[in-house]
Amino acid sequence: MEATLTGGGRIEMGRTAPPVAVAATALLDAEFDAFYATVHRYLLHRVFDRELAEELTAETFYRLVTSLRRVRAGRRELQMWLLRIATNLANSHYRRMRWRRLLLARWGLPRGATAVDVAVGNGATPTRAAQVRTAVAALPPKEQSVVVLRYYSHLSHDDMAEILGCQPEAVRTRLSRAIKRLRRRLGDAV
Amino acid sequence: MYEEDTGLGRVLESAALPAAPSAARAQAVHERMRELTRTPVRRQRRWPAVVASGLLVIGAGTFGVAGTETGRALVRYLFTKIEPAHGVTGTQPDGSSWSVVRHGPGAEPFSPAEAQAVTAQMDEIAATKQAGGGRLAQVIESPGHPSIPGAERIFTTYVIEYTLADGQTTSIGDNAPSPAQRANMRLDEIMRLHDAGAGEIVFQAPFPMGTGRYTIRFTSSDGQTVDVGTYYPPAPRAEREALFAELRQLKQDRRFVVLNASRDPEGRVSGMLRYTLSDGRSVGIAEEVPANVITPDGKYIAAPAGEEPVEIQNAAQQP
Repeated sequence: MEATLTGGGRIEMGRTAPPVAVAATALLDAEFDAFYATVHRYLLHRVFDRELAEELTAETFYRLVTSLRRVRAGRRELQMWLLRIATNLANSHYRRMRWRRLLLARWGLPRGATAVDVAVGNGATPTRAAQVRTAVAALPPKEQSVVVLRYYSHLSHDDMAEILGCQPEAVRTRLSRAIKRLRRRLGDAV
Repeated sequence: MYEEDTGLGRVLESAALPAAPSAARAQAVHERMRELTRTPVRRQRRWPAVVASGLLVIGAGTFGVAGTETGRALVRYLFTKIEPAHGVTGTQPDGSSWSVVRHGPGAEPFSPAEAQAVTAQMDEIAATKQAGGGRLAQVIESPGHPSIPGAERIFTTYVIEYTLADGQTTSIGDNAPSPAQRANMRLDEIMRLHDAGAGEIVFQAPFPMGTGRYTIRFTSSDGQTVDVGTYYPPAPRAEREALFAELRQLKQDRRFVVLNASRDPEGRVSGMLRYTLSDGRSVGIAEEVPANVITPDGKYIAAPAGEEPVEIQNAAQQP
């Protein structure tokens, strides 16, 4: 269903916001819960940490505000834009974590619990689901993003390509590599 | 070929977490977004941070340039235009050499016609000099320098004003007026009066040269008066010699300040040296700067630690 772009008079915009931003904001306001759930679900399966996923989701929407002028006012476009921001945030998170782990390892300090550790459980025997989450979380961020967009957000290759800023062929290649890697890691589980 | 795995897809979906976002958190984010969208776009660009960053960069750059010696030297090097001086030199019939220098911003070399005119003018002056012409305009006394042979004692320069055939007036500093000039201008008598401390001050201006600028009126034996400019008040020669001896000592001890310095076409560095006498008087003398206070690269007057070195103008004209 395509949403109306008028917003029903509920939206108050800044005087300097252009008309396109007004329309996008109206759409976002009308369907905020649906957009929020979509982004949250994606980020939850990127980081496997509920609190962190909530934080990143909120940050995604705050960042959207500053780029509303560049968003075309359609439901699909808005969702693509949100997932693109969310992907960048998740990738940034993994980059930060990588550096943090490298520094901690260099200084001989315990690296602390990661989201994957939390997903698996505190030393308990990992369940099959936890094994899968661990394997997904251990993928390189670019491969992880295509796996999550494909299997948890159920997007087409074209949509994924738009979000990731690459060609659909590249998405397929990346997904194929990720699947091979997951198979090796999960072994008999699949 | 690309590979998709429906079996793996089922496994992955089975590991999905229950994705129920916090309703309260979603509501808070929604409210916050509404607030942000009410904020004019220009305010969302964090311009204060951008402006602050710009000011920080400008401030750091300014400090780097103005607050460090290296920065100042770099600016001097980049922006100081070396103005070459242009000169015409020659020799008079009595063997004394002369030079006419043109310098300063925009100074251009003498054209052949100009050089010829200058030479003709100097030839005319030389002829007038030999004939005893000219008028004594000023007497300049300098203390000399102990390291220059023959210049240990008071060094006197007579500034003689000539009126040329075309009506133009020009002043020439001359260390050795012709015998005819000495007689006509009564130079020996005037200098005797000067050395005796005679004369009446008819004009006085404060220091920049010597201890000040004075016009002293001398009355010769035939009753005629001659006004002579000098940089020292009337006093017996012994007093001036004592003053100059102190200056020489100060110069030898390198206790002077160079206010400006420039290099002439022959490579000599001259400047305004300011001395402070033991009685507190300041004395300024335009003279050659001692070589031992010039930096090895020939571009600056060396300064004590913490003080700004004085740049030598026309430093490029090293011999």
